[in-house]
Amino acid sequence: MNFYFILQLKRMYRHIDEFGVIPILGFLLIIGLFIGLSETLFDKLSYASYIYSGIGLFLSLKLGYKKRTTFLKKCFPLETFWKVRMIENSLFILPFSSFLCYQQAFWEAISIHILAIIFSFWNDLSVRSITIPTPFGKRPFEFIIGFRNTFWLLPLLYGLTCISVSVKNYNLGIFSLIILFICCMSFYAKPEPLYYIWIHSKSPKEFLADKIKTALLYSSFLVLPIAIGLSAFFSFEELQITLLFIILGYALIVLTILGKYSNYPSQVPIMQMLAALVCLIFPPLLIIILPLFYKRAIKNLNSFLTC
Amino acid sequence: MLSIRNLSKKYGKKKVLNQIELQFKPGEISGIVGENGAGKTTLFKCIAGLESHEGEIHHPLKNVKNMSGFLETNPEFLSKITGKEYLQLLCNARNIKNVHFEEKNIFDLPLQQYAETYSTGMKKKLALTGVLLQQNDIFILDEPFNGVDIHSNLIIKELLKSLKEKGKIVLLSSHIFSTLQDTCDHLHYLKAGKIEHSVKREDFKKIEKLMLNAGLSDKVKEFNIK
Repeated sequence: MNFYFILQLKRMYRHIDEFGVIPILGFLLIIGLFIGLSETLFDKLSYASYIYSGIGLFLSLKLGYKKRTTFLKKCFPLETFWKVRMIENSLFILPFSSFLCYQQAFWEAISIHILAIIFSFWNDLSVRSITIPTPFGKRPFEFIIGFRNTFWLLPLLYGLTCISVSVKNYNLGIFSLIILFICCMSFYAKPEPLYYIWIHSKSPKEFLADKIKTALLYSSFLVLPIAIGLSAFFSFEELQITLLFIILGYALIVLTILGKYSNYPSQVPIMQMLAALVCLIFPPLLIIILPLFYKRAIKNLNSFLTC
Repeated sequence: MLSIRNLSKKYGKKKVLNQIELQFKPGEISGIVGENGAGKTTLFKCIAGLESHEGEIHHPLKNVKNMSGFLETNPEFLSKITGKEYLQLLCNARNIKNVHFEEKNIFDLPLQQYAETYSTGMKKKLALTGVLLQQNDIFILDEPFNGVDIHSNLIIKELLKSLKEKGKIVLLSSHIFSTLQDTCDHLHYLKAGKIEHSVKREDFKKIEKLMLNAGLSDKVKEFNIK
């Protein structure tokens, strides 16, 4: 059993290493990012401890997917299997419960820890049961998969926008918009198997144009309700800011797509991610970076789409 | 005609394919046979354009990649994509519009279900349906009969006959010799990256004998099961 946990640590280490980051630095970055995001959540939202607990528990459920647990059942005797599941759920929720303790939400911290251990007995979560309907079926595949993975977030973000309108808190609305764009960007983060590029009888330019068109069209669908809410109920000045954020969001989605295909089949290296982060802080840089990424993506795709 | 001239492939220093020379005519089904690791899948990937290689792959009409459909041994499916969406993706990739997937569901697959939840045989059948819907001119089918039930095996054989009648170029591999005998016009025996023999239908027995000789040595005796 100990070997299993050491192996998980090794796998994390290798993932970070493949990402182009020194593993120790990577671990520190992950911890820093987790603390930063948690702080922001508690800073910006009321009832943050409940939302935070919900997120932690929801994520811990992912460890109970049938495919994973079936593998574990094959590896270990039943008694060890239950021990492994309890320990891994407990370890997973630990950062969440620790942060809740730091925020002096002790009851929530204890509750999610107990619930996470109880959840370790729930090991039959399967994707088999329900096919989540999606409006994006005509142009597979990124938005179909992304929507099915994050559909639960949409009512939350639209709800936040409604709250922002009702309490006249513009920042809350913009926060929802940013999260939605980040979500759409994440749909393009992981490189697909080569076969899914090879099947296209398109030139790299046509392929990229198609991907970008689909991304902009479908992200507009998702963004529209928030954009309408913010434009209709806030001042003209705020409308201009909203428009700026939407344009920046679109540009960053395009950047994510170009970044992915300029490095395909590898993951986007850390330097490019940093470049994207700098663009977020200083958007005019996009005018230089977008064409650069575009050229690289075309060159890279050439070897997969033409032969 | 699809011509392969002087095709070689190396992985590092290891030569996996060695100066392959082959020709495939429209309206003919060609089988590639050989032991595991002989280079069949690599050869198929090179022809499809999924692997870089030395040598030439030539078709007089157009880009081979854009007119080929490739059925992988173990088709890979993205998570949370239904069977229907997978077929839609393959059709979109070749600009094929207005396909009624339910009507074309020749294997009666549950198209509204996530493809990743399909059994091995169902995955193969879904991938094959997709390749067929793409209206390709060249079909590269890596072990199309593997893991598929008897009824579907018969359907696949009928489909192959139909492709032949339509003048398509079909390349396939299989470890089930009887299916190759039933379907192929030519057989090419690949051994350690080289084409050792190419025979027509009337000489299939020769290849069968060669393969049996390669498989039935004293290996089992030497293993000495206790």
